[in-house]
Amino acid sequence: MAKKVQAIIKLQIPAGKATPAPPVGPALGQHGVNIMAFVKEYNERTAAQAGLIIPVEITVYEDRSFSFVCKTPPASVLLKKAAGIETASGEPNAKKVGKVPRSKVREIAELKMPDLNAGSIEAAMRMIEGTARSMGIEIVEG
Amino acid sequence: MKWFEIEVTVTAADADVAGLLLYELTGRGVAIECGKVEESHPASFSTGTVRVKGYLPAAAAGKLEKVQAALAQLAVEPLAVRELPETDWLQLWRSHYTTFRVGERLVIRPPWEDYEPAPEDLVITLDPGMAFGCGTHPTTQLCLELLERAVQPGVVVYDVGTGSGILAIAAARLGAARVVAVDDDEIAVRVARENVARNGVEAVVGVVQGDLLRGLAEPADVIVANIVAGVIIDFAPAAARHLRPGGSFIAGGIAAPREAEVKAALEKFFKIRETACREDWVAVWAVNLSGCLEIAMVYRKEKSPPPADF
Repeated sequence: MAKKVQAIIKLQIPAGKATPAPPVGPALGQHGVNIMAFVKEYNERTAAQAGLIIPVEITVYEDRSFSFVCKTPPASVLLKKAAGIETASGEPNAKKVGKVPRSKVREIAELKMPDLNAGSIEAAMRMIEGTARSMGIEIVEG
Repeated sequence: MKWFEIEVTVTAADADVAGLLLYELTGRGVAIECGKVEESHPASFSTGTVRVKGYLPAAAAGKLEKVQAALAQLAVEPLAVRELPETDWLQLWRSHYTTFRVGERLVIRPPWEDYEPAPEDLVITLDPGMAFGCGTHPTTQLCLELLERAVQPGVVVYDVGTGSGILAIAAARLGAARVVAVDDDEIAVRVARENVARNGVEAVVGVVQGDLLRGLAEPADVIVANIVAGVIIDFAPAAARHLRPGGSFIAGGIAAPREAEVKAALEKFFKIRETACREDWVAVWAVNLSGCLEIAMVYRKEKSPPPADF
């Protein structure tokens, strides 16, 4: 198991629904990674989270073996769910599409903490609030 | 099916939202690419720019304009839209992995290829899955070549850190009576079991999940460990304890700069019989010395010559 890393691939795919079609096929195929082995394993690991997008970080080694870790759902997906909206705003400055209370932002920040490069929960909350602004979601007290 | 690939370059802070918009508009997952060097530092994910790629089937080309308009505000560089040629992605992967020969008699064959074996060939059918050891890595090949010479019919072999199970299956093909393949990784154990079954050697090879040789009592004739230098050094005393006198320890996965260090550790317990190198990798064939010495002393006491192969 002398492994040298060849590439790291980041994908965001619906839990339990990976297929060899894009984005999985082109991303893994170019590195010679066993696509079916990944698809099977990802779907097994994420089956319980159906309905969410689960980011995955795949490490490909020089002999084309690989390993992967599943991350927490993207902040944008969690914010969308918290705001109860269908889609994010394409014009976040001009068009607000929903509101999320600060207490919910803290909840999301706590969930996302392991994957965020934030030194404190307050710093993590500021990152989540930044994502909310880019989506046209207002943060309200509460 | 043909696809359109939509690539949007955004600031790292906007990657999350760009991914969501692409997902909402295409109904498919997205790929995220950061700079290769920065990848090892998670901190870089919150700085610089990131490329987010989404995909639309050619049949849904009508949506392209809507996608481009939605992403325009976030993009820091003009959007790139490429048409991808029709590709069988599974086939693309398979094209990387074809039948090949290792050593004198071993032939590694992926399950989707036909191979007409010569009478002397020992064919291993292998689907590497996620696990290490598809046979193309220099360390795996060095271990296979040494196994080919060290494994005699009827011996007991331990394969420590089995990965895909390739070395264990090779030992069975070479005539071992019993092979125990160990790995601490659950996925490797599953892949190895599938490969053992695929080769019909379940009666010979047992795959167990565990830490090195803990729990194994029967002494082996050959132990093979294709792992890394540090583990080999730590494992040397246990390997010596689990080998019959004169038994072989084949250690692979040793990066060339660590060869001397590993050999020094092995020489406390073993006699180095052979060192094999390929590219930047080294494998060592060592013979269990402690048992040999004890036997040699007994022979000396009885004034009989030791066996010729000492």
